[in-house]
Amino acid sequence: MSTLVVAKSAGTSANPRGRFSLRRRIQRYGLLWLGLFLVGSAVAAALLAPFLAVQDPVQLTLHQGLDAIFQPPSPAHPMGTDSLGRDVFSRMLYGAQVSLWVGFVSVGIATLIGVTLGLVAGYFGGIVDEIIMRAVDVMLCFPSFFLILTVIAFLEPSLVNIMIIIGLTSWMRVTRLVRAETLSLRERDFVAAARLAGAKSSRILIRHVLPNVMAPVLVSATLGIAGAILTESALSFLGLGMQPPMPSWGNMLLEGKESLEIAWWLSFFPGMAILLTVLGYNLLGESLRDLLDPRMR
Amino acid sequence: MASKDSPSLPGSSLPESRGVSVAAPGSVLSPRARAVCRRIMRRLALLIVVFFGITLVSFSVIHLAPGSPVDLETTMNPLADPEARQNFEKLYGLDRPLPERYVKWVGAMLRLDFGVSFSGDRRPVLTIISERLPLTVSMNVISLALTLLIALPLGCVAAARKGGWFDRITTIIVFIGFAMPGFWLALILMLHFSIEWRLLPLSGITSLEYESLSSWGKLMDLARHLAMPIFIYTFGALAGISRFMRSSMLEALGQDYITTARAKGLAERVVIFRHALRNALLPLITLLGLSLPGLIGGSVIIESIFGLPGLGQLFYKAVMTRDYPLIMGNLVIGAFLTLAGTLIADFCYGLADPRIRSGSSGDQGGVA
Repeated sequence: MSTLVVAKSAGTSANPRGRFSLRRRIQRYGLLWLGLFLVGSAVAAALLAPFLAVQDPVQLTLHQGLDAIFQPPSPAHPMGTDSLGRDVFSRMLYGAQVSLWVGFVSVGIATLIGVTLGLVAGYFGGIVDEIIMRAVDVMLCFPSFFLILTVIAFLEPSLVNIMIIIGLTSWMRVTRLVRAETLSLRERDFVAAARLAGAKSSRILIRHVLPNVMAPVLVSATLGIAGAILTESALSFLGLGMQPPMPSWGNMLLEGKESLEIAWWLSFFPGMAILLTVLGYNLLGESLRDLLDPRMR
Repeated sequence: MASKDSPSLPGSSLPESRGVSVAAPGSVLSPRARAVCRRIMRRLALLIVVFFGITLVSFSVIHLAPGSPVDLETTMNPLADPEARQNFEKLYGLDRPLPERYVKWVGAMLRLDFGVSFSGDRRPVLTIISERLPLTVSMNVISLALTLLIALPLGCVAAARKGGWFDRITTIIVFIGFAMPGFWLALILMLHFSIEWRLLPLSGITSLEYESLSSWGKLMDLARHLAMPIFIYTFGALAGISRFMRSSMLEALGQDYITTARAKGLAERVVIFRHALRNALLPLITLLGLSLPGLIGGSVIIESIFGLPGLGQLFYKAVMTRDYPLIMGNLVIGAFLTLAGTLIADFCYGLADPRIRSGSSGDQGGVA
């Protein structure tokens, strides 16, 4: 398949007509830009939440009376108000913070574990490799959502716990990826040269092998963020994620479910936000994959 | 590339192993049957290790977590004194040290005895689970069959006409499918089909008048209740599988034997469906085996939204009431189903792909 892609793109880039190559470029980078735009918007919403928010996301405004609740979207409340009269737009912005935290921290944990174990397993081989890969098998065969649910229900459902447990249950793919790369890298001449020059294993792994596995790891981490955001929102939707009154897109959807018939905006906007953010990370990840390594398509 | 001392891993036939093209076919001289046998024995041994690993992890996670099921009945009950607490602990066997409890639990589990539920009725865990299992399994099987029925042609056509309008449209749908949270889709469907248009029932599995219906009526009633959940399962799985099928098909179409087949003057239809499709289907077998844990996990959300009495809903309740034996039972059954799935997938793979018997595995591109 890769040969097909290469042959095709080589053929078109040789095409001297400017318009065609522009179209080609949009096809190639259009999804990347769209992904960057969506991810950028989500990150911006999270960072600028304190400045953009119309109202405090948690504070109740009951003094305004019952008129304040279930207001449909209007210029004053771009996304309407919820069953307690809170501004949905402001809550959405703070919800973006939650998904940003969960996405980056849990994937950071998973990547750290995965890269370390993968390097060690791939480089040293033998019994270490066997143990690590059996651990990977064990974790991969877990219905991991069951495990996450159990731990969160037993510990306290808090942001920190969610980030840690999602991280601890999603390092297996990175481990496999890094191990596979390391297996082939350690046979390469530059690694042999470093070894002959007397470099310690740790130095070889960090200075010579690690930089060469970063590209696929970056791709897998980007896609991992999408998965982590979906998991967090699912947990919150089950009432086991972020606890009210703190907003997260998942628990806003849960609240929206209660008033599905009378207030469509309560479930529409959070759902859309999850969809677009996850879409953004996925597009970004897939485009990076194409750009960094055409073999991976 | 893979050096001599690296063990050939069972997982090396999985999509993630894209980097290492294990080129060395090894010695293929040993009789086929013996190789297959050895392969299966090795797989089984590994599966047993993995299975006990799973029970160990589940057991420690559940029992090392702070708090205890006794809390619900003692600290929240002002009438309960410390003695009552001890009695409860004795009743549930929670007063023994952890390793002892694990060994005891494993011993009982091997005799298919998962203990009795902590909840009021104190029924055996296995009975409770076996009541719930058929619904979850049959819903997943139906949606998996539907998914394959739709995804395979979709992926084939998209690959055959790569870059065409059909490919682009399906790519867009696939990306949306990847990103769509199932529970949000469920809410949208419920709002339109149940609340606005009153076409389908909102939740549950049967109507009130179910018993009075004819057998055809009963079937239709079930179908109407399960239509939305099955649609959501299918939509969720469709994206991944059609995308995987597409890349697998593209890879197959890039091979030399396809060029040969085309050069022979075979019709494109024959090239695609006979030569390419057969090879493209191989990696899909592994993917299906691997997708099982996700399906089981996903059932928690869908079943609790639609109020379906399946395994997922049962698990959710068990977790919320800290019903240790029931949680363990669920985790173990879930893991068992997954392992059985991967084993069957692996076995089918071995049957379908002659290369695998020699211990080498093909390099499959795939979606993460």
